[in-house]
Formats: sequence, C-alpha cells, structure tokens
Amino acid sequence: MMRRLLALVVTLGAVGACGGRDAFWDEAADTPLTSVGLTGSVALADPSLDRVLMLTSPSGRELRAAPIRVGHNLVNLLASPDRSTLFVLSAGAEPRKSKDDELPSLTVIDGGTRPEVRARYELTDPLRGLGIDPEGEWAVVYEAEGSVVVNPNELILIDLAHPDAAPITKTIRSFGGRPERISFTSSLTLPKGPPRRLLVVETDHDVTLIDLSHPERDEVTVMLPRTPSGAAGSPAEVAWSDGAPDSATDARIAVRLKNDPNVLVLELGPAPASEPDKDYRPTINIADVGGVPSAIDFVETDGGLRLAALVPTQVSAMLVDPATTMVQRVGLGRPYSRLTRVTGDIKDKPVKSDVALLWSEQTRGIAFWSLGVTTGTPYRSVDAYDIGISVASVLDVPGTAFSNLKLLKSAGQAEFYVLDLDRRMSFPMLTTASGFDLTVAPDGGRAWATLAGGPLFAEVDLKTLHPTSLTLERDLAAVYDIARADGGRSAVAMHQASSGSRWWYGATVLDALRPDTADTAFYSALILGGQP
Amino acid sequence: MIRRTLAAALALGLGLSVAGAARAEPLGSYQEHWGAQLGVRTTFVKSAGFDPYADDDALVESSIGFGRTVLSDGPLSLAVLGFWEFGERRAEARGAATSLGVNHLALGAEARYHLLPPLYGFVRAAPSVTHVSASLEDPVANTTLSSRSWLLGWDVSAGGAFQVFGKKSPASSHVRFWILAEGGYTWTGSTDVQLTSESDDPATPARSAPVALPALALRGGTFRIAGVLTF
Repeated sequence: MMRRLLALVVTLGAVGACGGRDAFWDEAADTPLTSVGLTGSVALADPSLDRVLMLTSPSGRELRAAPIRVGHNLVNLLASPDRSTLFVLSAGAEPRKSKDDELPSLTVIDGGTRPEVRARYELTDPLRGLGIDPEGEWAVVYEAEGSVVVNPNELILIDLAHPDAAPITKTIRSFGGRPERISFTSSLTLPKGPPRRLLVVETDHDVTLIDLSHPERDEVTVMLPRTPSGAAGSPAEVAWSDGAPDSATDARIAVRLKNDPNVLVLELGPAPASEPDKDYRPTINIADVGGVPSAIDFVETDGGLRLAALVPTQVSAMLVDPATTMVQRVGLGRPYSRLTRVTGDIKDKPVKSDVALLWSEQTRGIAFWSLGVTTGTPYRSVDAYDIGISVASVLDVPGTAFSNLKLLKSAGQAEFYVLDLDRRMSFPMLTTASGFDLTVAPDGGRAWATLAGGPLFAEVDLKTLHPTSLTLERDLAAVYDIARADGGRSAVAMHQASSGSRWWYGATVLDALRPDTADTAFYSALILGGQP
Repeated sequence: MIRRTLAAALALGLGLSVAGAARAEPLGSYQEHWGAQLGVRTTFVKSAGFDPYADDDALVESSIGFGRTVLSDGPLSLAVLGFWEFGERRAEARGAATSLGVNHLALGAEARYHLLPPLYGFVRAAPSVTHVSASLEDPVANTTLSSRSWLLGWDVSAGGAFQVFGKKSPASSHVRFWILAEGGYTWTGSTDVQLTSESDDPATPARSAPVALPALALRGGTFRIAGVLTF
C-alpha cells in the first residue's frame, strides 16, 4: 500500500513538473538592448523574443510598453532620418530547417504615438546592412556575411512608397570591391527622361550609380583611378548637384578619394547614339586640389557652381569649376576639415550663393564661408569665430522655428555651443564634465545634454537658451524627447542595470516642456511589457 | 439508500471493493477521535499568473491539519477539520529573481466511511482563504517589489486513510497513526498582481509605478499525502 502511494506521489509530481511555463519568462536579456528614439515613441529592441517594445506616453507622466513582433534573429535597427519610422532588419532562422522557419525580413514600424507595423518585407538573404533614404522613398539592404556563400555585392532595394511592391534584388558589377556606403541623391535632371534619383554605392574600389526610377536597368560602374602612390583608388565621400535648373546636361556627382589629392567629377551627360537605351553617360573629370581633401560639397558662388574641397594640409579650401576643373584656392587661416552648407537655415539667405559653416575636430573655432564673394575677394569670404572648443559634430535643429540654430558638439571639452546663424553669435554651454551627449528634440524646441552612466542631464530651451539641470535617482542610458498622444511632450530617460549577465530596463518620465525632477514617474521592468 | 450510495462512491474512489466493508461492530476510537495531520500538498496550477514564479506548474506546500469527529452512525461519520498549507516557489522572470509565498487556510467538513476499522474513505469540502505574497528583485529600482493579497476559494477532495500503527481494540484510547492520501481540486479567486516597493524604502525612486504581472489564481488539481495521529 505504501509503495503504491509513493508511486502515485512521484507520478503526480512528474505530471505537475511537465507543465512548463511560457518561454517568455525564461528569455533574459543577456546583452544590453538597443533603444532608438522616434517622434512619438521609443523603440527598445528585444531580440531574444523577436520583438521591439514600443514605449509611448499617452498623457501626463504615463508610459506604456507595447510589443511589436519583428522577424526572427534581429540584426539591425535604424530610425529614418526624420525619426518618424523604424526599420528592423532580421536575418531569419539560421539554419532554416523547415518551410515554417522564418526567412529574413525587414519590418517597417510607424514611430508615432500609436506605433504599428506599416509593412513587412520578406527577403531571400540574411543581409545585415541597412541604408535608409532621407526622403523616405527607398530602403536598401546590403552587407552579406555569415552564410556559407555570400554575395557581398548583392543589394535588395525596397520601394517604401509602394509597400505592395516586391523587393528588388540586384547584384552590382564588381571589380573586387564590396559596398561600403550608400547614398541617395536628390532628384537630378538627366539628358533623357524625367528627373530621377540615383543610388550611389561606394565600394572599396569603385562607385556604382543605380537609377532608382528604373532599378532593373543595368547600373553604371565608375572605376576609380589609382592614387599617386599606386594604390587602388578608394572613395571616401560623394556629393551631387543637379546643376542649373534649366539644363539637363549638367548634373554631376563628385567623389572624394582616400589618400588622394584628386577629386573626381562625374558629369552625367548625354549617352552616345550607339547606346540608345541609356538615359545618360558619366564623363569623368579629375581635379587636383593640391592635397588630400577632408570634405567636399557642391556650392553656389558668385562665379557659378563650384565643388568646394577642404584641404587642411594647405589650410585652404579649393573651389573647383566642374566644367573646366580649374581650381581656385581660398585661404582659410585655420585647417578646417569639415563643412556644412547652412544657406537654407539663414533668415536673410543670399539670392544666388551659398553660405557654409567650417569646422574641425583638430582645431578650435569655426568660420562662416560666404561664397558670394569668392571671385574678387576670396580672402574676405571667410569669417572666423573663436570659440573655446574644437567641434566634433554639428547638429541641425529640425523644424522651422529654430532652424537658424546649430549645436556644436565638442571633441572632448566640457562644453558645447549653440550657434545662431542669423546673428552669427555663439553661446557657450558649460557642462560639469566632458563626454556629454547632445540630442535635439524632433520638434526642434529643445536640446538634451546627457552623460550616460550618470544621473545628470540637462534640457536647453532653444527659444531662451535657458538650461535646466536635472538629477535623477538612477543612472541614465539615454534621454528621448517624444510626442504624447495628448499633444504634450515627454522626456523618457532610459535606465539600465545588470544582474550578473542579465540586463534590466526602466525609465523615468518627465514633462519635456517643463522638466522637473519633482514631477516624474518611474517605471521599471520594461522588458516584462507584453506578457503572455 | 444514501449510505449505500456514499459507500459505493467512496469504495469506487479508492479502487477497493465494498466486500470488505466494516462489520457492524462498534468502531470506537478508530472512528471517533481527535486528529492531527502533517503532510505535503501539491497543486498543479495552470494559471498563467503562476508562470513568473515557477518553472513548472507544481505548487508544493507543507500541510498541517487538525480536527475531530463530531458525528457517527455505523461506518459513517462526520468530522470537522481545519488546514493550514504553506509553500513558496522561486524562479526568474526574464532574469530577475521572483518568489511567490502562499498561506492557505481551510475549514471544512469531512464525511468518512469505514470499509474496515483501520481503513476509511472520505470526501471533504472546505471553504478557504489564501494569502499570496509575490515579489520581484528589481535591478534598476535596486529594491524588492512586492504584492500581497487575500483570495477566497474552496477545496474539494476525496481520499482514504489506512492505519499503520495502533492497538487493534476499538476501545483503546492509545494513539493511532494513519497514512492518508487524497486528490481533489482547489479553487481561488483571481488577483491582479501589482508589485510595488515598500513606501518607506529609501532606495525606491519617487513615484514608482507598480509593475504589473499576470493575474494570479491558484486553481488546479491537488494531491496530498499526510501522516495522521489520532487520539
């Protein structure tokens, strides 16, 4: 009798133990999770559950976490430049053992206050690179690796404007290179056909142009010249110009080369009569700018369109006439290495010429370069400003209200600057330590300075330039400024902590318009959102 | 008629024949006694609310019971018993340590039928009240979040007990020792689990929102084995 009872206990215990729980509870975050700030939500990637947690703030200090299922084996997560859309690239099941195992995919998610899947594209290959069109029309998936045999020159073009269109797989011609960067041009007027945009693919040895209005057509591949030292030419940057509005033969693409004083100007002129199926043919012009350039861009000057190339070793900028490749030197006084065209952000913008902001990570100060006076008095075109930092990057302010402002991030100093382009004034903002990260709210109303790993951060009102310093009760990982469903804005300060090798996430929510640490709400256990 | 039906049901439940039913001699202290029980109860909880605290569905509790026969008529008798069952499960919820403590109190009536003096079957029904205490170690808040609640419910079970030690005389007032086994079902109401930190915990961030876990209901089949001392 006793033996039977014990057998019964053991049997029933085994039956009970067999009832396992949902796998959700066993999937810990073994590595730090990636978060991305969007216009109306924060995306927290949760790859172990094949999902992205979308954090939204419906009203007040409220925070909600809603999961959105994405493809299996998440490999890349990227926001569109305007932060309205999130792109999630998944490699799918590897290896795929049955028809039910997921294929690679790209999930497109609306990043607003009510996040939802806009489209999902099934892909054929597990690629890892993602290029997003700033104008929101295209996405390109590339960068194959990890499979038994990969074709690194395969691109998958996804027409975001037509979600029902099948992705277009295209292998670009290769002369031994593989794609390193991709760029989407603005609309260019070509000799034949309507204006169109090109996809410029920079490999390590050549540049490929793909017609985005006819992606199925053969691409144009431009082999790069060898450097003076005999090494294979390698692109470092591209720039483009549509040329004169009334001309269909002067669209150009310029290529800056690594370790080479030459810049290439590809003139997209008419194709010869022997190639009637082609809408254009690039003609290569080469200009020697006297030293290895660090940045290029097309600019409008009082002498017409020029390709500006900054040559820090010459402490100069070179203006290349793209039609003749004649080079005009403009002394800068300082070895500026980067330039940003700011013409469109200035209230009293010049009619026919550009204004550029010059800066460098290696030298202190900035300069305004007025390209309307470069022909007669080039030495007067550069207006230098002493500021206490060397500039690591320049942040634009979205929207129109404060687009005249630029945020200048320092390269290691404990300060940053707010630059007013209209008044040509710079306002220093001192921080308690170096290493503060700067972000600008998507509505362009304020900037946030955060020091990851500590509890300190600050908001700078871009209307008054009044900073509000804040100290939270937990260390920060990042701060995101998102729109609320009720019309307000919330600042979501993300916290992360690890317990052993397990990562755990929380957030503090503040009113982004009136941040006050006495008016916050703290949310923990974010990764438990969307429980089964 | 009722007695026959009850006897048949109990015998069927135990898988025994009624052929050996208790003879018409007095059952004495076999039947009328105080009883103290110590055992183990396993509940197989299928509620999704149990998942954060346990890798499987088994809730194993220590079981203490005490009662007395209050009515007897031939082989039939009625006892009143109270039970305290308590147990705990620990697990991890996505990497954070969790625990669930359960204290289950039940008071009910047990109808018994002696097939033999040292062997009886029973059915029992008992309303219950259960205190559940859930907690989660929060690495970000750096504190323990917890939730406590009371659940009303009921238990039903059927089983049998067999005397393994004791005098054979019904008139003996010496202690008897029985082995008891039963199976049944326990049901409690459901509670929304909202984990919060202690309000006086200085480590807690201000205005912390509660952490919601799935609604918890301790419902499911049970199996219990116990040793019973009667006197």
